[in-house]
Parts: sequence; C-alpha cells; structure tokens
Amino acid sequence: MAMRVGKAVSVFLTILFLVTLSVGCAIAPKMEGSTDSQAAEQNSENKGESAANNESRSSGENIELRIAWWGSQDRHDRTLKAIELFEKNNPNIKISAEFLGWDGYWQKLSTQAAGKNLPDIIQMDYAYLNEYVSRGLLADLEPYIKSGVLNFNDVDEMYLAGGRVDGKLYAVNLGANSPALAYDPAMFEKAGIPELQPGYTWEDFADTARKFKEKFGKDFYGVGRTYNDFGIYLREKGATFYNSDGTGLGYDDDRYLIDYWTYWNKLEKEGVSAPFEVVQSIKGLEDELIVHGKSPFLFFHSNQIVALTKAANRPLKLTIFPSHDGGDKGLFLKPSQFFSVTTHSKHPDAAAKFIDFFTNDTEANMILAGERGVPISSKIREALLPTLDEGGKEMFKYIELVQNYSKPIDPPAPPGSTEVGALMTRLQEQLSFGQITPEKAAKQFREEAEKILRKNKK
Amino acid sequence: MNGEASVIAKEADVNRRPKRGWQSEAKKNLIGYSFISPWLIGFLAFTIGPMIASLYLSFTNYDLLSPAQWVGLENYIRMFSDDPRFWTALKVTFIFVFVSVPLKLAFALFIAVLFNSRHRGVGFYRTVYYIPSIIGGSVAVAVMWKQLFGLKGAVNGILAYFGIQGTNWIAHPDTALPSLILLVVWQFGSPMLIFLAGLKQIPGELYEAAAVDGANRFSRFVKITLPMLTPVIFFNLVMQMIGGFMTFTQSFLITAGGPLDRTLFYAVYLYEKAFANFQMGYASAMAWILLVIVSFFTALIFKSSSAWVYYESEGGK
Repeated sequence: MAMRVGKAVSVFLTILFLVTLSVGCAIAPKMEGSTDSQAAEQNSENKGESAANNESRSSGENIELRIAWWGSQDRHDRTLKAIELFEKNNPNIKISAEFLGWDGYWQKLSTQAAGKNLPDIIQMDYAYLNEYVSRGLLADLEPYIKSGVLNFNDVDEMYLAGGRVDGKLYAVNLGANSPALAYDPAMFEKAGIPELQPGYTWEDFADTARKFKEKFGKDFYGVGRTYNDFGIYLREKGATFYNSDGTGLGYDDDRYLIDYWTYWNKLEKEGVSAPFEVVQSIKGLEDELIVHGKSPFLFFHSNQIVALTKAANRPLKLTIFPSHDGGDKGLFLKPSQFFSVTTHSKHPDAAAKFIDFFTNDTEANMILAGERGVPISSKIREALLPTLDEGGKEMFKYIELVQNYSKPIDPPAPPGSTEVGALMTRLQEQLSFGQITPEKAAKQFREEAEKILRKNKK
Repeated sequence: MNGEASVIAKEADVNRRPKRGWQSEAKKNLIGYSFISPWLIGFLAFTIGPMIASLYLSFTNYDLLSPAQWVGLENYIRMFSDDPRFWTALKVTFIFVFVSVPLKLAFALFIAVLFNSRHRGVGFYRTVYYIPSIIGGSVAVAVMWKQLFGLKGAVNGILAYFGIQGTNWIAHPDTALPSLILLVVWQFGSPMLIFLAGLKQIPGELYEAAAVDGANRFSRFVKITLPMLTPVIFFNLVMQMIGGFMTFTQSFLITAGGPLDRTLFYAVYLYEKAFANFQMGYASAMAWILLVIVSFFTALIFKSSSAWVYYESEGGK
C-alpha cells in the first residue's frame, strides 16, 4: 500500500515537473522584451513563417502590426485615435501600440533589438538614426515609394533629406521642427522691455535677461534652462560639433567651448539664470518656469510650443536663437522625429502603408494637429493651418521664419553621441557648483569625448 | 539562527537515516528534487544560465545590437585603469553600504526591543512599522521621496513653518546621498521583524536571574540581549550588506545618479553602461567585479563571526 502511494506521488510529481517545464517555455518568448501579450503571440506566429520576407499582398490576410513611440500624454491620445481610424479604414490590419517617455524608450528598443523582436514601426530620432541603420535594423523604404505604397508627391525633398543615410530613405519625417526660443510677450510689455528681434546677439540676450531679473527680483529668473545648445553656438562660429566621419570632435579650438561655458556660468553666478536645484525640480514641460510666469524665456524645440501654450494657458511666442555679431547662420530645419520600418518586421508593406496614412491622410492629421511638428505634405499643411490653435499657428509661422536663419543640418550624430552628451551634462553640473573652471572643463571634455568617439574609427 | 537550524537538521538526519539500498535512496532524492523543481528550473534558467552568459559577455564587446566579439581582459583592464567613474561609483556605494547598513540595523533593533514589550496595541504598531518595507523597494515610494525632499516638497514646507529656507535636498551634492540613506534606513521593517523573532527566543529566566542579581536595564541589554542576539545580527548584517551593494531603485528613480555623481551607485552605473551606452560587455564585467566584492565582504563577516557570534547549541562557541 505504502509502495503504491509512493509510486502515485512520483508519477504526479513527474507530471508536475513536465508542466512547469512547458510553462517555463511558454513564458520565454514573452521575456524577450515585449510586455504586450499580443506581441508575444505575434512573435511566435512569425517564427513559423520566418522565411517569408516579402509579405503577400492579399488584402484578406489578417495582419498584426506593432508600433512604438515616445512622447507626452497628449501625443499618446492623439496617436491612438489616429491608429483607430487606420484600423477602421483597413479592417484586416490590427495595430498594437507600445508607448512611453523618452527616457525608457531607447532602453526598451535596444533590448528588443537584442532579442530580434523590434516592433514593425518605430518612432526614430535624428540622433539615433545612424546607429540603427549601421546595425541593419531599419528597412530601406525606396521599394515602397516605387511600388506606390508610400506617396511623397506633395512632399518637398527638403523634408525627406533628414531620413536618408547614404542616399537611401530609412526614416520618414513626421514633422518639421527647429530649435527655438519661446518667450512671453505680455511679460516684455509689463517690464517695458522691447521684444528681441531676429538677428539679436548673445550679449543682447544676456542683457535682456539681466533687465528682467532686476525688474522682477526674487524667485524670478531671466532665463530658465541654461547651457542650451552648444552645437548651435558652434555652427554660428562656422564649426561643427562632430567631425565629418564621426571619429572625433569637429572643432579644434577649445576657446569656443570655454566662451560658451563662461557665458552661461556668469549668468548663473549672477543669479540671473535659475540655479541647479530649481532646474532639477522641473520634471516636465508643465513645470517649466515660463509656464508659471517665473521666467520670460525657454530654449526648446518649436513643436513643443503646442503643448507649452496649452500648459501656460496664455499666448507665448517663438523667436530664433541668439547669434554672434557677424557670425554664421546656426539654426536648421530638423525632422522632429521619424517613423521607420524595422528589418524585424514580417509585414513591411503594411507598415509602409501606415506611414503613408500618417503622412497623407487629412483626417488623421486633423487628429494629430501638428503635435509632432509641421507636417511635411504641403496639402496637409494647407488643410491644417486654418484649424490650428494659437500655439500651432505660432509654430507654422516660426518654421517659415527660421528658414532665413538656417543652413543645412549636420549629419546624424555618430554612435557614442549619447555618452558624449551625458559627459557634457556632467561637466556642466560641476560648473554649476563651481567645482571646475570652464578652461579645465573644456580640456577634460575634449579628452574624454575624443576617447569615446575614437571607437568609431574603422 | 540559520546555522543553528541546519546543525539540528543534520543531527536529526544522521540519527534517523535508515539502512536501505541506493535505489530507493535515489528515488527518494528524485521525489525531493521534483518537489523543488519549480525553483530548480527557475534557478537554472534565470540565474545560472544568465550568469554563465554574462561571464562570457564580460570578455566581449557586446553592445546588444551587433554580435559579440571576444576582447579578452580589455573590459576589466579599462575598468581599473581608465574609468574614473567606476571608482566614483565604488566610493559612493561603499559610503552608502557602510553608513546605511549599521544605521538601519541599529534602528531596526531599537524598534524591535520597543515592540518586544507586552503593551496593548503593540501588534498594531508592529504592522504599521513594517509597512514601509513591504512597499519599500517600489517605485511609488521612490516617487514619494522625490516629492517629499524636492524643492517644494513637504520637508521644506515644514522647515518654512519654522522660518528655515530649505534646499532641493535630492539635487544638492551634499544632501542627495544622505536623503537616500534616510530612505533606506526608514525601510527597516524586515530586519526588525527578524530581530523581533530573535528577541522572543531569548529565555526569560536569563533576565529574571540577572534582575535578581541586581543588573539594571542597560546591562541586561548589553550582557544578555546583545550576545544572545548575535546570530540574528549576523544574519541581518550579511543580508543587508548584500542588499546594500545591489541598491538600484532609490538612486535610479530619485536622483538618477546625480548631482555630480554623488549618488552614482554601482548598480546604477552598471545599468547606465549596459542600457544607455550599449556597453553590455563592460557592464557584465562590472557585475562580476561586484560579485567578487560582495563575496569578499560576506566571507569577511563569516570569518569574523567565530569571534563575536554566540551559538548556544554549540556549547557557547
């Protein structure tokens, strides 16, 4: 009797053993990075037909696409609505969305890339484009233009150029964008200070900021975020941040960086710009000092004016960056972000179709309302303009204005650029706390940045 | 405490082991292994497997996106000779561990002694004081801490009430790390609970005898409670130290390693290397160095334990 019970127990346990084993296997594909159960399902389904690169065109086939983007809540809401519309128009295509903030986005993508499980469509940034193309993660979109799935008849080449690497289109621009300075016109009026006119210099800007600080005093700052963009400062000096093949810095004279850091550091020490602690407590666009009337200025990107005006609930205006006396043009038109089709996609055709919809569908763009920047299709721009709110109109106006102060954008940043950017931020922190001089910081920056970039040498 | 239990178990095993053939012995073992199979599979697939993989990757330049290439000891050499931030991370982590762990244990013991009394409502308080540890590692607490110690946080609100102008505690280089240490010390619940269990095991006669001999509260604590509790202190010390070296969430979410790298915990720097800079090979090498460091300190504590840990069952040794 005891023997039999023992046998029964061991049989039961063996079964249990096998069950747990198979459960373990079933969970495994999910662990590769995706949190979406639908995604995991699709992934395992894809494995069966992995050889089928070219997707069959039969419209009856049910297709599931995954799409990922970063952004604010406003963007999530608008994009999800646009996706709904696409699904209504294309009943055989189901789209599952993975959306998050900027910070986690690239970390999630890189783990998915490592697991060969990237979504079909990913939102791409200019800074990452080279890195992703060089690793063969993005699909060449030329064939879909030729086959007519992607239609760029209403799109000027100027808008597409940013998405090209070695002449091939890997990413479709979702909106034109440019670095910009937002300001509060009402505050200028109240202070009796004349608004800055395009062509104003860095010194003009510093003086204006000082006047504001004098006028409004404690808890008010002439400028919120400092150390805005060294790249533009350099371009105005006729130099570039990276050299042409991305194996080192593009400027030879550390004087530029020393001057730039001295400039901001001085405003910081004078108490004209917001101190580090204050800047650190800004966690989103809604917390920016300009929104709360505590500063007249904010350096950012033009597409953000839509959300900024919404947060401030009063009209804000855009103008160009300060310039150097007799200096070069520094600004540029920039693709705010792209959609790319990944090489992991089993349905690149359907993915391209979605991108076409995003670019050319009027109804969809009414929903999206230029939140990703000024649309690249001239037809869409015409249709959209009259329907825009104050912020949107200001953005359209600025994109027109900035073209007079722009020269072509620098090539996409080389691999390692995020590390270089983080290095710069760390040194700026040390400057803020007076732990290093601009001279020493500039020297250290060159040494360490060159070390990071040297790895790109082939 | 652990040691004690295993010794007892071993003795029992020796006494009761029946003399049978190896076949039934193997069968018995198989049943045993089957019982722990869910854990065993998890351990092999999700701990040992990844560990072996990371050991291999630590000798490569793996960057997540392209195939790994063997680079020998380069990662390790670079870490020790050419990465000042690695040393910063080590320094920050050591300060954190050597300040927060003793503080946390002292605090946990203090509260446990208070709760060891038989006052009314003590059970309720025990639960309440344990709550921070249950929710301790979570994102929510980190976010709350960020709010509390931020520029316009509750801490500054209270200070302002007394006319003191506070700073942004988590963004100031001098106060960021202490703010995080405070958070970790506040999460004293689990060592407290273990201390409490240890306190309950100390025989009441010892205290009675000491009281009869005229020992006051303090000397009873020093001469009876502490020595009797050393196995528990030993256990808590090892666990908390290991946990301390691996601390990640608090720094990652509240200060993101800043300002001026003052809260750049080892695990945070490792994460940054792996997922922000795509240097998975280097990060793997860092993980192995951390394992060596943790092993070293654990071994040190174990070695030293014969000098200060008192096991009643071993006849006072």
